[in-house]
This record gives sequence, structure tokens and C-alpha cells, in this order.
Amino acid sequence: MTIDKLPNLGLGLGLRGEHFNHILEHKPAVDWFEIISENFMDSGGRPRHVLDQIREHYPVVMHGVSMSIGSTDPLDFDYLKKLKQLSTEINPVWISDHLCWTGVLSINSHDLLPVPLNEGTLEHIVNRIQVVQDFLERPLIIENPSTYLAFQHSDIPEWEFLNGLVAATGCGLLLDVNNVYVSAFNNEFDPIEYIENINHQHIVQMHLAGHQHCGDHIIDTHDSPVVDPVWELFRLAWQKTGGTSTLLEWDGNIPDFDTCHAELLKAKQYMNGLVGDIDLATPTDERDLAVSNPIDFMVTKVANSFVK
Amino acid sequence: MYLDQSSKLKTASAQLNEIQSWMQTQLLHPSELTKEETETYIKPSSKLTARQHLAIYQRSYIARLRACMQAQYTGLSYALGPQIFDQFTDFYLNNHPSKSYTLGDLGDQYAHFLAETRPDKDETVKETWPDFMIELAEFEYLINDAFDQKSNEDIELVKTENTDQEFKLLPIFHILTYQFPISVFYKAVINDHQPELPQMQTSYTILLRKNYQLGLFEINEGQYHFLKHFESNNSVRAAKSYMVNHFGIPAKKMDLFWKEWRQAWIEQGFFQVNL
Repeated sequence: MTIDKLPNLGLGLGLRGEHFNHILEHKPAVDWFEIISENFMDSGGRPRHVLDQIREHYPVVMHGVSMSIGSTDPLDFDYLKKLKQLSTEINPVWISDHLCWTGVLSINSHDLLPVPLNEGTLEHIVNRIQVVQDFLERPLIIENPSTYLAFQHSDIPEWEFLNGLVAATGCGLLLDVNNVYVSAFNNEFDPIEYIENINHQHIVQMHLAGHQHCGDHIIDTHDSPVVDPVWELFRLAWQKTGGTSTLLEWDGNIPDFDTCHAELLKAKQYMNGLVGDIDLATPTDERDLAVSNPIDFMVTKVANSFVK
Repeated sequence: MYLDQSSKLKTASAQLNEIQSWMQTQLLHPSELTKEETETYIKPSSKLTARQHLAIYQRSYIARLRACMQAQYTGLSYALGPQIFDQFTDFYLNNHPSKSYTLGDLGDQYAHFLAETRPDKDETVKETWPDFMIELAEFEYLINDAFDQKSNEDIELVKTENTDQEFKLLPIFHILTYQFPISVFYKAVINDHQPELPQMQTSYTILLRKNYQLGLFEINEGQYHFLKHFESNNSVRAAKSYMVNHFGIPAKKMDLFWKEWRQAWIEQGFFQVNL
């Protein structure tokens, strides 16, 4: 399979445990759902039971956080076998993960750590994507992560690095528009140049999310509405791609389903119209100690699962 | 010097490995780095120094894993208090960094770790509070495991009219005993009743999963022994005989006990039909 066979699924939401009952009961008019792959690998409890019901009604995509495609550790084939097993069982439309590493020496930091962007890393990751794609027997979709530092050893812009991965492997891209904004602020590059130059034909999916602006840096918290500059970048990306599957992630302070859905549907306002001058400034948020990729992303709240 | 493609890749890989090893060490074991040391790898920006950029990852690493441990060990975090819990957690993570693809495994060594590091480990006379904390940690890990365990939930529950020979325990059914009233304490915590730490008192508890929901039921000592024997032999008759022979309970009285237990446990859904 090549990525040009992958469909535009429309507007989707990240599937979260807080919304299970609402989705099962109301079958809301969402086009598709994205799951965190690791939450359902080796899983035999209620989350997996609910997923099996949801996928009878909605297309589902698998989004991973532990492939560690940029690590110098050997690829973890036990992990990949479980990933493939899950994909065989639930038949996702595609499988994605991040341009990152999560650890070395067999350790998992459970963070999406940045890679140095240079020719050597590019070749290293190209080789690994090819191995993964051969193993999974499908293209891998790679997402740009939110990053909080730049390495001295980086000499390629991230969009160019991603284009290099695409050219060498045929992989797809998951363009996280919020991550572009966050990384651009933190590492002082131009997000508009990024979106204008990334390979639009290979963007299979886009992500939207909220973040926390801490004044001198921004943390990708997924715990609030999407800010206006990110919507404007989304408008630009929508125009450049001609429209592609778009998904809202909301992982901290998760509101009720209808609030998340309403935030997602705002995307429709940005699918048309001319791209004007984009004001990239956003107000500073005074909350303390933001953590990227909040834990709700990856942990099930077992205490809520008892018989009342 | 000319480098062929394979040598270039090896060199690049060595450089990447050096950067990743250095950064991971700084996440797991942060040290006082000089400006020069940090800037060997990380670029400063106009807003933040290289150390400040790195610190964002350092802070997120420990905060994320603490939050995960607090989610998995709600009762223990309450019992120790969040600050002490975080200190134990930091020490634990320092000794047992995650090696799993899933955060679900993060606390799998926690009870063992608490036992190994209890402050009175080498004392002849031991305090009781570490025993409580260790038992609570074991219990909470078991709950997490039972919640997501693979199991066949497509079962037929026993009804009153089924014969004793048709009784079989649910696929996920744990018969537990502790030195402390662990389950009662845990339920009080998750229901936000803010319980006092309990005194030592042997407790007997059933943890089961039915239709993907967990259930906790307190039982007495006799019921514990009856169910343990039933679990081993899958025979009501044999379990009753065991109680008569080992605890000197008159057979007629045991029949009366069973009649009462049978009805209560059918209502609580302890048994599936043994097809």
C-alpha cells in the first residue's frame, strides 16, 4: 500500500476514556477516531472492549508514542510485533508515530525527545522507517513532535528533514500544526515557511491541539482550545494540502465530549477563505509547571472502573 | 580523509548515540552543568539559555512519571502524602527506570522496591506502617492488572436454580488476605472519604471483574478458606468437607452457612456456569 491510497477521513477526535460512555450511547457525528496504540496493545479490559464497539461505527487510526524511530537502540521487534498484532485485530486506516526517540540503553523516558536534524540522523531514520514499513507491510505516517530545544548538531530545517524521509521511504506525514507553532516559538524558526515548504502531497493527516504559553517558551499541553494563530496556520496548511484528515487532540483537563467536538468543528471555519497575514502572537498563560504530553494521554484511570 | 558511505553512517550513528546517551543521563540524573558543557550539545536561543531549554525536558520527565505513579497508586499516594510519595517515587524511578513501551508497567516493581528499602529492613523488631504501605502497593498493582487483563467475559452467570456442580469462579477472581484492611481503606480513598490510616487487622477480600467492571467484596475468614479450597478443587462438596474436617464445623451448620453464602455470592456474581 502507498500513501496515495489513504483516504481523507474528515474531522476526527482522539479517543479518550472520559468519552467512552457518551460515544457508545449517542454515536456522535464524528468522522473518525484516533487511538493511542500503546493503550490497546496487550489490552483485554474495558478500553479494548469499548474500542471494538466503536470501530464497528467509525474508522479508527493508530497513533503510537513508543516506536522510538530516532533512537540508536536497535528497533524493538517485540514492540513492533504487538503493534502489528493490534493492527491485524482492529484494522486501522493507518499507523503513525513521531519523529523522535524515547530512550536508549533499553530505557523509555516516555517523552518524545527531539533528534538532531542532520544528514547522519536522516540516513539512520530512513533505514529504520524502511525496516518498520517492511515489517508492518504498510507505510508509516510520521508526525513532527513539539520540541523544546535545538541541537548544535542540527543543520537541516525540520520540514526539509521530513521531506527527506518522505523522498527516501515513501512514508506519510502527520502534520501537527500546533507542534509547528510550539517548536517554532521555542526554537525560533518561521512556522509559515515550515508549512509552505513541507511536502504537502505526503501529508496524510493533521493534528490540532491547545498549548500553554509560558512567556519565554510554549509547552504542548493538549489541555485547552486551539489558539487563533494555530487556526490560521491550519488554514494555510489546509489550502496547501487541498484538505486532509484532521484531528483534535485534547488530553489534559478533558472537557465533555460536546465541548471537544465543538472545538473540532471550528476547523470548518478555516477550510475556506484567503490566507491573509498571520499574527503569530498569543497571550502568555500564567499557569505553572506545564508538562508536555500530559499523562492522561497514556494512562487509564482504573479507579473509575468499579461497580457502583 | 575519505569516508565511504558505511563509515560515514557509523560516524553519524556514534555521534547520535553520544548525544542521546548524554541527554538521557541529564533527564534521569540531572547534574549541575556548566554553560560550556550544555552548549556542546544544545543551542541557546534569544529567550532561553541552553540549560533552560534542557530543563524543560528534565522537569517534564519526572513530573510525567510522578503523575503516572500517582494515578496507579492513588491509595498509597494518599497514605504517604503526595510529597513523601513523590520522594519514594523519585528514588524508585532512579533505581527502576522504565524499560517498557507502556506506562502501565511503570509501577510493576514498586511493592518489591518498598519492601527492599523499608527503613527497618535489618532490624529484628519491625514497625508495622511499612507493612501497610507494601500491602497497599501490592493491592493497587493487582487492581491495575485485573482491570486490563485479557479474559473471556462472554460467560453465563450462575443462577439460584443451577446445581452446585455447575459452579465455577469467574475468570478474573482473586481471593485475598492482608494484615491490614487494605480494600476498605482503598475504597474510602477513591470515594474521597479521606480515611485515617488503619490499625493492623487481618482482612479478607474478593477482587473480581465482571462485564469489564471491577468489584471488591469483603468476606470473613471462614469464607476465605472455603473459597480458596473451592478455587483449588472446583467442588462445593469438597470445600464444605474441608471446612468440616479442618475447622470442626458441624456438617449441618456448614450446610446452613453454604445456603446463606450461596445466595449472597450468586447475587454478587462470584460464579459462572461451568459448561
